Amino acid sequence: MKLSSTKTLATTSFLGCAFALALLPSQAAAQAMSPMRGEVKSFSDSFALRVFPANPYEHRIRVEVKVYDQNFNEVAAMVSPANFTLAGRNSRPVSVIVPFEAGQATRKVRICTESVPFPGQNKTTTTIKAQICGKFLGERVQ
Amino acid sequence: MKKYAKLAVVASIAMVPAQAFAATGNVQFNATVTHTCTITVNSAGTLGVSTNFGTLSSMQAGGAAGSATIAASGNGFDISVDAPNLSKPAADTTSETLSASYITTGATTVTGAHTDAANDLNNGTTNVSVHMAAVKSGSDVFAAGTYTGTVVLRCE
Repeated sequence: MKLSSTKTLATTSFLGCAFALALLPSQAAAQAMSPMRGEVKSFSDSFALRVFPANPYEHRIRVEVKVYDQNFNEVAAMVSPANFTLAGRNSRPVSVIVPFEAGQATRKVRICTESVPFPGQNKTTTTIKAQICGKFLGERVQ
Repeated sequence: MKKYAKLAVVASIAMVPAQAFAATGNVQFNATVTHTCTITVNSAGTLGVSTNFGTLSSMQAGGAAGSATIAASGNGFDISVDAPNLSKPAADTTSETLSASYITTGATTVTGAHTDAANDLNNGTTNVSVHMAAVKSGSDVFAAGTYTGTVVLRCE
């Protein structure tokens, strides 16, 4: 699913990035993050998104939401909340504000929901850290 | 008699029901579908130790792959793993080479490693076996203690 072919969910913000866009959530409980694609237009120096991490397990897990660039370098974005615990079969909204890079009209980022449902056990183990990443494109309207 | 006949005709006309005019309206239903993927980690893996203590691997005797399930609600998502991290005891001061790989069955049948590009996922449920290995070089060996490897399994 390429970014260019996704439906534009964009809303142009006249009040700044904080109101740029609330991407529509999908409500099914067993989803790890929704939406996973989107495009945002913003008049300000940053753009805002809202994603819905979900816990597909029956038990509570700790969730982290991080923002990465195309090369998986972490982006200094405002994520609220960035760390939280999530009850089983539940989701919650997370707001993300991503600054545009100086002089750039667009910015592609990955917003990733990470969780470690099976923390280290008392033996030599391999822990799988699940990471669901959505791809988002921010476009600065000049 | 004529008078009664006229009254009867008027009464019968009055009893004819007024014509009902049909009205129609459209009831619209809207929906937004956003495809997503879910990773469910079923079990952690186990690292087996080689007989010369130079390799920790889920493919060694005593080792086991980690297991996860990825449910993709549409096409267009990718699966990948990152180079793993290894938490080790303080007594182990030498470096090792880390690698991670995966094998899938179900809706998607692919293999990949942390050095590979992401593989396409098909719509449906894919079962993933995740492997990890840590290899010391030369005559170095893993010190006694507890080791924990972490592999990032990604759907994007």
